[in-house]
Amino acid sequence: MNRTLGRVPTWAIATTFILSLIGLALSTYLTITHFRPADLFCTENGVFNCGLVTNSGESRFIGIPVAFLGLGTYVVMTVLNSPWMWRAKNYWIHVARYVLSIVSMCFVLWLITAELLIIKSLCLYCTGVHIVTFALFIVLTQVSLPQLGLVRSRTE
Amino acid sequence: MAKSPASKKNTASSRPATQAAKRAPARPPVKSSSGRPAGLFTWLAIGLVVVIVAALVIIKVASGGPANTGGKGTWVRTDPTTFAQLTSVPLSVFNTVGVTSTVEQVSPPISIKGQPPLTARNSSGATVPEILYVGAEYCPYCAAQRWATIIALSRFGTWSNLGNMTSYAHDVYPSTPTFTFVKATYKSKYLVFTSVEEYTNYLNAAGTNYQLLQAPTKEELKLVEKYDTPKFIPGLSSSDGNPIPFMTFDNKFLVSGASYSPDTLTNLTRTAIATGLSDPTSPVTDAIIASANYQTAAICSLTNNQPSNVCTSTGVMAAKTAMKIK
Repeated sequence: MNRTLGRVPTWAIATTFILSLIGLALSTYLTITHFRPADLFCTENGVFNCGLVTNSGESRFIGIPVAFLGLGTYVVMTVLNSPWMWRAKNYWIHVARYVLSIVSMCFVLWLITAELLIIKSLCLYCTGVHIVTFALFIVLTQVSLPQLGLVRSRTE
Repeated sequence: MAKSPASKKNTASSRPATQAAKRAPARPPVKSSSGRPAGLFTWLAIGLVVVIVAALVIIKVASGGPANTGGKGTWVRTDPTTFAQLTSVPLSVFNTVGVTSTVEQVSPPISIKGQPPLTARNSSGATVPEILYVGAEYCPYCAAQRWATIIALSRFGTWSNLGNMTSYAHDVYPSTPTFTFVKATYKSKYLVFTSVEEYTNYLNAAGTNYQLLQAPTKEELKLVEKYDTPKFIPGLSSSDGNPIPFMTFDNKFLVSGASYSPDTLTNLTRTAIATGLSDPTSPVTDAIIASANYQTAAICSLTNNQPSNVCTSTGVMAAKTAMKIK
């Protein structure tokens, strides 16, 4: 495997960092409302019911509240997507960033499945985190594969 | 005059062969090592996620149905005979039992003072005291509490759509026979009763918790977080969380946990318990009716002792004395 790191465009560094901060803010709010459910402000209608989702059995994964997992993921993601870490020379830091993005995307798909088919309600803030995770996944797929030498970039 | 692109092209193509040979060969389309364009992976990722989410939405729309509202869709209305026995307990039974239970310790609602009243508008638009119940179908303590609460509230209004329920089969006091408030409605000119059955009596698909049934509103949660705590419930510790069943009667009386032990109802059928409600010598009836009299006394203090025939009855007066209610 080629361990030489390719160049990453500035727009991607800025975009991933901003998306990570948005995801961090949303997951922090969801973690706070895990402890203080009364503070969860959410529209309740036939489609959205945050309380139903955040109190469901699916709101825990192997006993850990999903809100905690989201917060932990976005703390790590924010660090990995900071401009300083994008400049890191260590190849595996950049592998870890993309792997975390793939794992997060898979987990988001499971959560969407649970919301649509099991709980039958959506959580507005959770959906926000899902969209941010999807956007991050797309940007990282676009830039990480060439950066890691798995796909040739346009500048090669 | 500026040269057109076409003329530039013509100029380039007319350069000598030696000059053209020094130029880099035309770059081929960007390919991966397997020959695929770089952006293809991004589009594949987008397409994969979109297809999965679209498939989930289609399945959801095709399956239809609103959010979970009932226990596995097998809600069973309480039969008319049991319903009548439950909601029409003879006055003589209330008066004979009073607050005396021969085999079970029965706890009265806890009196609290100085709290903002909990009110709501009844069907006539009048502002009346509200009673909030928060429990769950799996919970055997809620199972015991519902018997007495339904009976007490029957003295102030009318029930409809009570459903049969049993507590979780693999918990303490398994399969305690009871009812569910999930579809029940209660009408009274004296008060409003609001219920939240948070969970069903079965586990979710992942087997990690009970299936969620009804989510309390943020206002209801605030009440639980404020009152179902050691500050207001003697004997409760902070590690107990917010136990269920929880009831607040206009924020003047509280119930946290069952008013009598569910083991009173163990190994009995719903029919047997309901039939026994006309027998004041039954120890099961004693426990249920004593609790109902306590709750009735608490409610009477919210309704200015209306209706008077209920609030001045011997059994309720005994409860008022025990609870030091005037």
